[in-house]
Amino acid sequence: MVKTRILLADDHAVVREGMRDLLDREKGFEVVGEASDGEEAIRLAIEFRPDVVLMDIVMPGLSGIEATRQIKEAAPRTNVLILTAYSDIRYVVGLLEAGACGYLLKSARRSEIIEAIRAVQSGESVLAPEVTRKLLERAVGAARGQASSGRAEVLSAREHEVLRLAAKGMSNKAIASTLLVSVRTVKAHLTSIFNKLGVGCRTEAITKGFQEGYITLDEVPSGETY
Amino acid sequence: MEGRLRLTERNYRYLFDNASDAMWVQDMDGNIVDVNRACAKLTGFTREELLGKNVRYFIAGDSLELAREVRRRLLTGEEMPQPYEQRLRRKDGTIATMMMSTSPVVIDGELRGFQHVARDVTEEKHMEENMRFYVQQITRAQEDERRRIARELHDESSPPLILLVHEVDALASSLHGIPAAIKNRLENLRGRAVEALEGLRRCAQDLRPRILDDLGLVPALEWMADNMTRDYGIEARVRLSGEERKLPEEAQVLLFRIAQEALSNIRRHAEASKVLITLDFHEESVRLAVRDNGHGFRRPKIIGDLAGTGRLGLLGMQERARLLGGSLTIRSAPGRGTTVEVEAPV
Repeated sequence: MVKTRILLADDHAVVREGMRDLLDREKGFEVVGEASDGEEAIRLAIEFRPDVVLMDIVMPGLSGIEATRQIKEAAPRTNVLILTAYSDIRYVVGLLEAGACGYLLKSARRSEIIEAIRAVQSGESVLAPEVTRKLLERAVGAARGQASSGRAEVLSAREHEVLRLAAKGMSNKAIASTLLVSVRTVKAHLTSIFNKLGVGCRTEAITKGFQEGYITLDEVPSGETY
Repeated sequence: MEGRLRLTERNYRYLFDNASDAMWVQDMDGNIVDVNRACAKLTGFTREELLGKNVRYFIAGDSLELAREVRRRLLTGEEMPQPYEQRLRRKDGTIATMMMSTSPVVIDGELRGFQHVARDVTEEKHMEENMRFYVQQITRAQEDERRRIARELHDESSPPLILLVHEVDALASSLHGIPAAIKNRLENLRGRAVEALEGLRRCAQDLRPRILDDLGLVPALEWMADNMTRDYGIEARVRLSGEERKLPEEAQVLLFRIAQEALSNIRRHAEASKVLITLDFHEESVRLAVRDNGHGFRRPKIIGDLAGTGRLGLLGMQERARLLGGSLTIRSAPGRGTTVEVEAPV
């Protein structure tokens, strides 16, 4: 089994230790490095090309947000999960706009942390629908007068369908049962979508798919009011 | 009859000589033809030294410019707000600030010169500047202190609690087949630690919102507008114009605090249903305006007077605007809402 390679970035050694202790004990996870500030996180992300970076925001020197931006530029397939104390929707959207594919509250349960990493890696949604929607609503404004960053390859009709269902917030399993295929097939489609769009996770795929015109805002549920 | 008239002249002379305000008369060329004692005291020259001297001897640069403008307006009959502030150089080289009134001297229908009454306000001016400096220092110190405490809460107080939460999680998951009662107590323990952590965060957030330092001024304003809508039912929006750019940290915080104070005033006094926050990025300046549709108020002529009317928050906004090197304007009228606006060279 291919292990999920993880980089930890947090300026508090005790927090990193606790996290490493948790992740090392998990089957299929491997902590490949630890960074204590933003610059080091970028350097190690470029060197090790981890699958996931668990990133603290407040670090001396370069902040976790700037580090996320630079990591996504240098290694677009690396997914960043931001550890934060705050979950206000505007704040979270700002983190996602910097390139994070999701966030974890610092007080999250061990099981939640592990689930979130697994979910990101299997292309599942890690965000509440209203967060996704707010992100896209803002992307509407930002897209004006600004061409999308790199040209994406054209999605097949099936992939387009999978992306639309993903945008609705459906799990891989729900998509599989809707399309009458296996979860494994859905995952394969998602991987192909990520490759074609040049992204690493579902959050980015939806944003990019939206910019490329594969998804409209009406297809994204507004969800519960925050 | 004649005797009474002479007495009156002497009387006037006495008043002139002994007035506590400085007075002098100059001819059309600016040569001093009469001065009183207070004028001698103000300038540091004796009356004998002053007589015949040209006023240009005392005023120069911007002050001379102002004197010419006053003269021009008085001659053309254009409106001239009086008293006005003027500065002069004393005998010892120091600068005195005066509040002055000037009027033309007309004899037999002919303009012959100008007369001035001036009050020395140098001390008051110094006091005012000292007070302003003091207020600014306090504003800065308060902001530094808030940031320091917020940082300490994040750096020193939170990590042990986070660790505690993780330890409890680890303990709960490592023990198999433990009694439900102990599991419950562990869960309670976790809940309390999370509660304490939340408390610390709220406290840090109130002191200095992370979103401002992490994401910048625009997201922070949008966040504040969202909260206003969600928590108080006042529909608040942020509108941007010009090209958004990153502002220096101090400028960002000062602008944020001005907007925060404006929103807090709206919440407490305005009875508004809508608020629009606009941020215009110009090439060499930024303009922030907070406009509401509330009932407005009759504002004092000078914002400084607001301290006396219990609106200290407005004074704080004004001093922050000054710290930005800009100025604060407040437009309001009963029934027509209020706009607080600051333009700063950043």
